Amino acid sequence: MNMPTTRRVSLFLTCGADALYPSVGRASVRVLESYGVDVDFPEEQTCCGQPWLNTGDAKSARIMALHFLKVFERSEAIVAPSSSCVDTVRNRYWPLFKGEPKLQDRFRKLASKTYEICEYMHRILDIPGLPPHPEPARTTYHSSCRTLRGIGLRGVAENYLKQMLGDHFVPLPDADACCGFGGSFSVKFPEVSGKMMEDKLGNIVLTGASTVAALDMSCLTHLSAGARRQNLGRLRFVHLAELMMEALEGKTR
Amino acid sequence: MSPIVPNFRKASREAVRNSQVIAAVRKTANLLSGMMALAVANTPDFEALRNYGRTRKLEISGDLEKYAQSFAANAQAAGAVVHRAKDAAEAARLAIKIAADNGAKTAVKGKSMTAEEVELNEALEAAGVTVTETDLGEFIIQLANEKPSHIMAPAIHRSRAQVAELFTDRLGTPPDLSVEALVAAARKELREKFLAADMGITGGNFAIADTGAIVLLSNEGNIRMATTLPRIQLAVVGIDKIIPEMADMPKFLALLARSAAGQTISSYLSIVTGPRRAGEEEGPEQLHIILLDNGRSRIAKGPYREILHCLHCGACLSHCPVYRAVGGHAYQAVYPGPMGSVLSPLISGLEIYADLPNACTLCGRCAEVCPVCVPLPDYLRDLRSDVNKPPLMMKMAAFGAHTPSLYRLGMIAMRQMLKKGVKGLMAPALKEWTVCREPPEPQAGESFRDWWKTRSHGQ
Amino acid sequence: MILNQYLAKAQGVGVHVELLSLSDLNRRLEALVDELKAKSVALPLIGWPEPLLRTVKTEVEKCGSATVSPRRRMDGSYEWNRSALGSANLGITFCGAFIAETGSLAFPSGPGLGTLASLLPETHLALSCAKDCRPDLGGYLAEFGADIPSRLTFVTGPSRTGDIEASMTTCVHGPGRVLHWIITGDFS
Repeated sequence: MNMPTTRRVSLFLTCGADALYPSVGRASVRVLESYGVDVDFPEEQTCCGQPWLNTGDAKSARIMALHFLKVFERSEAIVAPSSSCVDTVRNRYWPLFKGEPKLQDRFRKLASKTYEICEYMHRILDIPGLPPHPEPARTTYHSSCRTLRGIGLRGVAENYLKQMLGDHFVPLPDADACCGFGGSFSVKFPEVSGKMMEDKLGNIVLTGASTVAALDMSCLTHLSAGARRQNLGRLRFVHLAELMMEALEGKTR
Repeated sequence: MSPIVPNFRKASREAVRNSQVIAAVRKTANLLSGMMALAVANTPDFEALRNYGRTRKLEISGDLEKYAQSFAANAQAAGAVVHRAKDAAEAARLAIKIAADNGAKTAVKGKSMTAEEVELNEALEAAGVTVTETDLGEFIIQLANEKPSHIMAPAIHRSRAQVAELFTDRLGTPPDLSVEALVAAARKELREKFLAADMGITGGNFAIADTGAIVLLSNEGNIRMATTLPRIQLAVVGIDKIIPEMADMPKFLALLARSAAGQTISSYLSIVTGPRRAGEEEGPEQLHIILLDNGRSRIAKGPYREILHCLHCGACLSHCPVYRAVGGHAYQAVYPGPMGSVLSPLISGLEIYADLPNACTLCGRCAEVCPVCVPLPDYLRDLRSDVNKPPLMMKMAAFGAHTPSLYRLGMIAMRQMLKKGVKGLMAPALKEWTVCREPPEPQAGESFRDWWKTRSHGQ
Repeated sequence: MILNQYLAKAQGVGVHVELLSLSDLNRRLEALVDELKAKSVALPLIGWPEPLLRTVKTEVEKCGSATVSPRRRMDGSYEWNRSALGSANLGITFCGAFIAETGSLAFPSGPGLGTLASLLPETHLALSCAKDCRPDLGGYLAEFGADIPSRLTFVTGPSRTGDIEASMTTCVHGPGRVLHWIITGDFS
């Protein structure tokens, strides 16, 4: 066997979890550690740069990409609790450096070792199953666009949810439709964004779920803020890692 | 060209409230995407076909002029008259001249987005030619004095009840007709026009360089009529529709028919090579083909070249969550939806359609269904660099965000401000966000960074 | 084998397709003309295998229907009587090639071939010989080489539209009903 004795992972927290959702960062660390992964947190990390990239400010996006490279280039692997940030690092950084082959190469290497946490557990740690959740609540799953079409992860989170929650996991109708967040789109065209959000929330209500899980806190920020506006009652919006942590530790929050 | 300055924010704000239109759009878009999915699932080599389509289209868009010249020469050899139009205005002038030279007063027209692009109907009508749209969807919107709202299903925004009302109003049919009865009424109305028309006007789904043929798909049969009955035929074709050989056609047809309506082939496929020949009892005496450039040669040389590969199947529209939320008219462009949000600004000007590249959540569904793999989300993202002027605040934020100490301070400040409510500083920043949502709610308790610090010290 | 593929495809797109022998043709034609009460039948006379045309023409006339065909002028060219063609209830054409891959009937244009008979009437009956089935569109197109007719039309099912609420409705501008009778056995 030539398996490395200990896997080392650098956590990329993402600015969303940094500002709003510390629990997502904590859960990510504890889930990884429970599988024997050695987690470090490079404190110089900031944001992946999506807001600039997706509004067409390529110049600023390049600055952000270079900073990310500086912070994470030496890491064995980089794990983030967010498909859209991973998609950015994996698929959007290197095309920003056309005409700079050496730099582009370094970004490609970076891309090849950056994972969403659920993806990392499935593809790298090869975790076949998760224990049952101690207090399973009726839960549905929002498969974000960047999970499906950005990093190409289909059915993996759903499988883990089924293992943890059994019949308490209810698939979302029209699951692969966008929730309407879209970064700058959400504030440039809030009426359209709101209409798409209403449809998504409508489907969530249809499932009767009290918990909504996803691999993208940005979609969930949008959906939870919309659910509060629409007085949809106490819906819990969580990253999948949080439910994993609860299942692995045998206790809820 | 258009007297109204397009404003997607304003138009879409109104569009999302029009529940009748949105319901009609969704119903049809759902059916179309369902039919496409089924047809693709029944085509085991569809991915190989898509790759073929993209590769072949790359060869074509790499040398548009070569194929345009070859097509023109072969079409002329087959007896067609080929005109080259560098822009929409020239195409319209040519069409008017063709009608005038032949004393054509009435025309029957098949659905053509290229003709919409050059505003052909308006031009011909102004020159005294009566143009009747004969595709049922186009006929409906012509009666309603509207523009198409989908490139394949132009009347997608109208319900049966609305069409029935329109027919009663404009054609005097009994009220509240069924779909079958509406179709029968249109058949009767249009049959006479077909038999009497001087001129048949169509677009072209493909133009075959090596034979000079125009290939046209239709399910209703109106295109067959328009290319067979009138004495003059005019086809307005974008130079992006040219494919090298007849042998390419069945493959592109397979991609187009499946993606447009979930079919293997349309009810009618017409391959038109020149006008009527000696001894024949059918077909026009003259076939005129206007090859339209209108920016296509320029686009082919730029970074958005692959948008010219588009087969105009409409799949990206039917699958787009934004299109499904607002319908086609909100785009205020001939080409709406994802392909239109790329093509419209490139053809008509970035400054006119600066909103459209932003009117997308980058969800990626369009690229997933595009039969020739046009990288639509990438193009839309890249176009934002061309149309957006980053505000100073965002530039400053970028400086802060890559400076760890400033970034950390910023995160702390944001948490505090959101926790304390949005009075003061945060309110303007959240103005648009709170149109449909409450402000984001940070979790209570310590930040991750504080937790991490305590934890590392404790270990 | 390809005939079976054709049958499945054609039925799938709404063509009423049947295999029958030449001896069954009279009876079936009589029944159809009777059912449609077809006063006038559009019937191009060029391009048919002789025994097939003879049977069709005789039977249609026996039923008392008028026939409309492209007329041969003095100079050898053909012309349709358009108003007569426009009022035909049934169009009967010979189809010399049909495509298994797509379930399509092929109609090349040519002097006297009268392809409009397959478009204007509300019912279209195409007659073919079983041996004329082709595997696919590409192969059939290649048969023409550089010598492609001025109009080459493929008909795949009835005229249809989904333009009102995507509700599939037939008989828009062309025939609402397409029948394809494939004659088996050697009769030429």
